[in-house]
Amino acid sequence: MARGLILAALVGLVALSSAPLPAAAQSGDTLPPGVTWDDVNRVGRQMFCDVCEGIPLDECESIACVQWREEIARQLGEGRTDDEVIDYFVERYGSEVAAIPRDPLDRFIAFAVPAALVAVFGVIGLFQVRRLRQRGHRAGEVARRSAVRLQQRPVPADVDDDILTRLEQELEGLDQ
Amino acid sequence: MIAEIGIISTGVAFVAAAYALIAALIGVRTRRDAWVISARNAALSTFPLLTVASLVLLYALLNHEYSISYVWQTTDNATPTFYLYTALWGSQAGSLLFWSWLMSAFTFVALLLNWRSERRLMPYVLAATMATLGFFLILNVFIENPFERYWLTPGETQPVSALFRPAGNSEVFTPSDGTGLNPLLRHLGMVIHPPMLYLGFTGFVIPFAFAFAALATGQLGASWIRATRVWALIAWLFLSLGLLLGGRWAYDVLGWGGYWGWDPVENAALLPWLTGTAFLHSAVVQEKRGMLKFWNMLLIIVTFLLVILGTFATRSGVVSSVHAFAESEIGIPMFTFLAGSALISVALLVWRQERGDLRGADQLDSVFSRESLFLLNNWLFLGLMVVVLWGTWAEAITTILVDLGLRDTIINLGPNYFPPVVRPFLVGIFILMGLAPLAAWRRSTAQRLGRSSLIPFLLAVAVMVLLLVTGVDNILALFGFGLVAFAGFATIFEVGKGVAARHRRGEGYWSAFSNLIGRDRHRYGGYFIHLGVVVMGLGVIGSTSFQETTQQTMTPGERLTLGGYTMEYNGLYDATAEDGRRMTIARATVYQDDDVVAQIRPRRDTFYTWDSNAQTMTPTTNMSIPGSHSTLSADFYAIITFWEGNTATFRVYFNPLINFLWIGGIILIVGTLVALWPSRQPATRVQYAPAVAAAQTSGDR
Repeated sequence: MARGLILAALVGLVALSSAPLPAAAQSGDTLPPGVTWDDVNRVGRQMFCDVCEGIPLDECESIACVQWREEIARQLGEGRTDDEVIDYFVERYGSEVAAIPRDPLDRFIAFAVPAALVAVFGVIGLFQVRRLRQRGHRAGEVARRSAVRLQQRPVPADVDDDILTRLEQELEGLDQ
Repeated sequence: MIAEIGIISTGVAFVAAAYALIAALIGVRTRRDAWVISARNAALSTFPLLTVASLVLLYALLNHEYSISYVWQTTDNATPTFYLYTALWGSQAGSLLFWSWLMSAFTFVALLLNWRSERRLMPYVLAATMATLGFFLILNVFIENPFERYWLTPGETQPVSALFRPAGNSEVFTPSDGTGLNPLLRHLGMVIHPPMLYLGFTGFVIPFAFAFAALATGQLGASWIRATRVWALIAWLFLSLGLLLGGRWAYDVLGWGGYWGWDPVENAALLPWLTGTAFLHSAVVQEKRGMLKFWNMLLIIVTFLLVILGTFATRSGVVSSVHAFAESEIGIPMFTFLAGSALISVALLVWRQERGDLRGADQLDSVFSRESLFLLNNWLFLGLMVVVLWGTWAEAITTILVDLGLRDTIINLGPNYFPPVVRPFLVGIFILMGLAPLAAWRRSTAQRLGRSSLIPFLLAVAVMVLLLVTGVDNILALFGFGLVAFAGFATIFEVGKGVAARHRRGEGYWSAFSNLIGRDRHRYGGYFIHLGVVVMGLGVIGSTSFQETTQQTMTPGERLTLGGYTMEYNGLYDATAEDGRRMTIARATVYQDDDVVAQIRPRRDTFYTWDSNAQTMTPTTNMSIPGSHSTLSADFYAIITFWEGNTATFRVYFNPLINFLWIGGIILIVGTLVALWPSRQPATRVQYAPAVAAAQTSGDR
């Protein structure tokens, strides 16, 4: 029962914090000295809010996101670096709030998995091209061997010259 | 009564699809044509049945039949009539019905057009299309039925939504007003964008069905690829349109100054587009050279699976997105269908490959031949698909791993992940877009290819030098413009060569050009598409490499400067629109070199709904509508982020060359239409064989 109540309260809080702002109270223009919105957005662009659906923090318009941006501004005003601010949110709300993993191993995995898949695909592709090329060579060899055999074989006397000339021309055409 | 018609027509459509599937399989098994014809008739009937169901739902939406819960959820009394139509696909159940209707329409047309020419494939085409349609109708009939109504049982305080009367004494309950359509969907782009995307998605079911039929029957000659390629091009056209309109909608409505956010749902539509593009190229190789049979089958199967995966992503709620539907119960059935389709198709493909049925004239005479370059292009598209697929699904995959206790953290990849991983593939694709049209089929050498690409290459270098001289110092952008210019010049050069050759034979330039295109619309339509992509490339490079943005809080009379423009903030006022939304509108003047070039009105719309508990109107959704000054060279684009009194904070973007993206998109669409238009060909006599012959042929093998 108590767990249910806590859950309900949490859901309520999340719903409240993700509700859009009413038109008359679109505030949030409080910036510490020396910090600009461009600074805040630069950090926000690298983060997601944990209650909104996959919207980068700098574009998100929920109350939660406004509060997060205010917190970013406050921390930048205190002289923290972009990375320190993002790490603060990751520590509090989990790794998924960062648009690129903060943990070096996770970041490696994020880029290594597609790189490995592409490498595997690349190797398969190379094999495919090699196989197709070998077949191409084999076909060429067969054609060359046939041509040599044909040249070594005497032309029967009863073959019409015109036909022979046309045949040679067509073979040359094929060869080009 | 209205709801009953909808329930019955959707239910009968499901029965017809199930019957068509079973009858087609019996027809193949027993080799009796009558079963196959009966299956065809049942399959054809799904289209009028689902048309009735869709019209019924549309009627209910237009007439505010709030007793139908779908109508209550997606409209209200204030929704303008125009947007009542869009409510048809405004939520899960309706959009599924719309999906099914489009699917049945595609099947209807495909059966009518291809019944005679591809008769041998038809029993399995019927089976594949009806299995897919039947599955979606299962979702529509049993899980997400748009014709559920509200019922009130005496003694109960809350009405319940149910398909049939929950108790003997329950009565239909009709609320006086609905909750209204998601405001984000109230945009012209949203009227056209989802249908185009759905047409693209459902359209790819038809090429898959032909591929499946070819695999099942063993009719793996040129016939299936001919039929498939046209259908794939149609689906690709709609998917391209859907992606373009989606980008335009995002630019106009989402208010973040961009058109592509690498959002999971955007990516879900992009993925089949990538493999579909690869297929359209490799299908040419099979048509011209009889090569890559296995490869083409694989590509069309992967494309179909990505369509289903995209639909699953959008509708199951497993990925977080601003575009996704709410979490729903259809996730598990959809994943099961996806897994089943993958297993069956891949098993069939492997079986045919093992038997050697997919071996064609697979040989590459030169790595510089056109077929080699097409193959390389295919691999680049596949690589691109892989990196985008991982970026899209990393969060869902790592969440599952965390749930299983195999990992501690979730990897969430945002928009910053994509540009660096996508760029190398795009570079390769643009190089090949320039080289491949210049390469000869079969035999080509590096020297020959080098010679033919020398002029486009030199022109591209000249463009880069010109840009450098005029002050462009962004190396990546310079390289990008050079690549795009190379691809563009190569295409123009190739078309120019053809026109010049005809002109030398005495044709005027215009008739030489039109005759050249008329002779092979497929090929030259493709070149137009390339030119469209080139122009789009200019827009993408310009708007990403040179975009400038700033956010500033201003009081009336203050000015900010960005990208050579100056914006003066004049003031703020409120207004209420006819549909009840409240608008806060900023007035601003845009100057360029001290001359007024535009008056812009960025605004924030807030939508309200009646909260019966609080007995008041409460805000539900905000929408930022930008004010912009648009020219061919750049857009100056401003939105309001927040305000207090007369002080407002603006986010302003300077987006160079962004309009090239839309212009290129139009060229791409025109090119696709040219490619779809049949080329002038001599008439051929066609002989028809009954469908059962296919079964016999298949059985005899």
